[in-house]
Amino acid sequence: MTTLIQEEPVSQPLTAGTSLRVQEDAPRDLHLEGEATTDMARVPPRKTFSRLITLPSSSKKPRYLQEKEWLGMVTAVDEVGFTARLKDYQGGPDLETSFLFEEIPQEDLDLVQPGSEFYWSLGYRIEPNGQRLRYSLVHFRRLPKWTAQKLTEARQRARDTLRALDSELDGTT
Amino acid sequence: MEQPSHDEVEITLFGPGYGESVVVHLGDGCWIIVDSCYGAWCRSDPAPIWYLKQLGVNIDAQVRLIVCSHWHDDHVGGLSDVVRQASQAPVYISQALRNEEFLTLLELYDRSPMDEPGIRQISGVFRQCRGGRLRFASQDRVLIAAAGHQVSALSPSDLSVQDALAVFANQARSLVPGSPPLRISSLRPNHTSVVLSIANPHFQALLGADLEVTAHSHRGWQAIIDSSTTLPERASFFKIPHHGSENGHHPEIWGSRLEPQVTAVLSPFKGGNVVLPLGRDVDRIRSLTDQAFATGVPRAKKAVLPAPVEKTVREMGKEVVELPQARGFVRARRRAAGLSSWRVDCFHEAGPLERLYPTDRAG
Amino acid sequence: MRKEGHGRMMIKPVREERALVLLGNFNPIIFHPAWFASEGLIRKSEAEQAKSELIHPDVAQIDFGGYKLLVTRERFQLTTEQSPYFRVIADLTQGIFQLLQHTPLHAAGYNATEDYRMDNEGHWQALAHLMAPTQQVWADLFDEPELRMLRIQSATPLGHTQVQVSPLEPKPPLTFRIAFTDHFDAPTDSVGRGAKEMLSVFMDNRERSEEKCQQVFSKLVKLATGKP
Repeated sequence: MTTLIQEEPVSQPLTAGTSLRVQEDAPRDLHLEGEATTDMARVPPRKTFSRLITLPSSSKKPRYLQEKEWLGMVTAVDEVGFTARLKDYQGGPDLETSFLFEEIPQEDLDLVQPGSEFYWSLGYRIEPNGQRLRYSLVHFRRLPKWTAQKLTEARQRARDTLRALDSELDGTT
Repeated sequence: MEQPSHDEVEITLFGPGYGESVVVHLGDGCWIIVDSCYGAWCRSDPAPIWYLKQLGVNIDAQVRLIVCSHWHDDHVGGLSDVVRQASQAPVYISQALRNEEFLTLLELYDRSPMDEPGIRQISGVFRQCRGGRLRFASQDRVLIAAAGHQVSALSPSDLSVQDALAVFANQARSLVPGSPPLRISSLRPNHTSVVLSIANPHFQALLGADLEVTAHSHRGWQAIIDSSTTLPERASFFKIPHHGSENGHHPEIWGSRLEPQVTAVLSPFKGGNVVLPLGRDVDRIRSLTDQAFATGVPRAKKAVLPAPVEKTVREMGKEVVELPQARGFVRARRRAAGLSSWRVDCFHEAGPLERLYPTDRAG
Repeated sequence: MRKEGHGRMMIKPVREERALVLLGNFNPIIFHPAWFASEGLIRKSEAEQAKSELIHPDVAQIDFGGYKLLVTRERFQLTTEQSPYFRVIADLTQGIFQLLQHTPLHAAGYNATEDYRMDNEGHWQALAHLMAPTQQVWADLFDEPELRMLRIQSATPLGHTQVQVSPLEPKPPLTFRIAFTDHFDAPTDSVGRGAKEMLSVFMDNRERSEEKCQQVFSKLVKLATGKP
């Protein structure tokens, strides 16, 4: 059980340096002076003690000044790369461009197929030493896979919709 | 922009290069909307809503029918908004979508974190249209009779409905537990598309949606030719199907179901590597009628990017372009009664096919 | 402040952070980078490079490089100071709680914090004076009253929203922090049940929360500087 040392509202994030009080079990001592016993009623209750854990801060990281981000959708794949449609989060017109496989993180290549989505972010990256570099980052979305439950539930809702439509149409004919 | 007079019929086609929508005035202030998209000239409202507002039409009272000819992304942009604003109009979608497989795909994708704008629009329509407002179009079903006109669906045929079911079932089968969510590809060929005929005693019009020709009988355009009882005998107006492609061209429709020199309109398409119409499609259409128009030619424009982004993109050797857009629409009007010809007006970049696609254009 | 190429001033934060917080019942031990990678939620290389900063039955903190995870018995928190990861942590949260769908959740918070550095102390004073006119109210009671923190809260249909504004340095403060929280309570009929409904509410509103925080940042910076 952790106890927060923070005031409401609690859906704000805890930050580095925040202390959390955790309860830990002390080792249990079963020996009573003079005799051994198996009578659990006489075994003293487990002792706990509390201590503070302070959330550590991380090493300095590069900072990103994002100038533009798009949601991309792969429309066609060939031997050297793929074409994608880009949706502008700020409501600008949809765009189109192509990528070479070399531009994609190796581990994302399996995700490149028509219909898959990715984020494309461009701007400046400021290194901890202050150096400013332009960056282009592609990150393919790793979305929750279909589960048997999701598929079953969708099918059930589809059946319910069909039934409702059938009874509406029966009512009108 | 002025409204058509009460005894005028109007058919207006919007086709910004990815998307298509048709707005029809049957007369006496009675309007219908077929499909929806966003135009390059207006991003805040779907094109049909924008247009009707420009004319000062009371959308809620005067739009009497909405048809969603098929479920592909490019035909449903803003459809949910159209359905909400024209709240009195019944909504017809293809009978081929009334099955558990398609609805399962809809339920799955509507709730996924993926960006599926077309699915969300269709789901929105299903959610909004309760109490008998949502209906299903199939071959020879009369959708509305108003202002002296009859609007009928000529497709999908029974067999096309079955074919569509098989395609959706196949798609659903590929969604197994553990498979990653991917955007639904637009399933081909398009068996679900709803072709419409508009007819009164004096003229007929044919709106070809995206219906394609297949090798199989009783499907696609062949099914309409073989068995439809509401196929016009000689239509004077034709919304060319499937962006003028060869896949949507049936010689018998052109040869014996359309008037010579039919007024024909098409919306172009550009998506990924697909561009329609091709040069040979334009040549074919121009050989069949002099009265052919298009909503524009989708042209790719270099994207306007913030300076640091532009520099990065340039250094990467990349080209980022705006999705090609055709920025125009074609409006055709004629008197509902008597011998009258269509008066065509082209707005913004729309124009006659021979001007937009000169004969020396490669394709 | 930075200049754009065409000379227009654009004020950008010197630090940005987004944190997704879920409150419920968790078991910190199970949150392990290798598990995330095995479920396809993160790259294998991200799991290999992750650093466990705290390992305790009641508290786990892992640094993945681009973002950090903190889990206690009552709290799940994904934080990042790197803007390319703002949406990535949302996807990761969804992925984790699809796998842990039976985890009871009772509240969630979308948190956006940005620090703005001004080129002179007058800007903070201008903002502080607008938000809390210290001279008018406190000058006769204290020698040098100054605003050190302001919190505004507003109820919403799904919970409440809060903004906290504070200078980061003692006098003269050049940098101030704006901390935005959009708090969501679990739908009443889902309290004590699994994660699905709470997560659905949280994720459905995420883009709206981000739009709202941008409006807040933009307004306060404009009030401070008189510029967009």
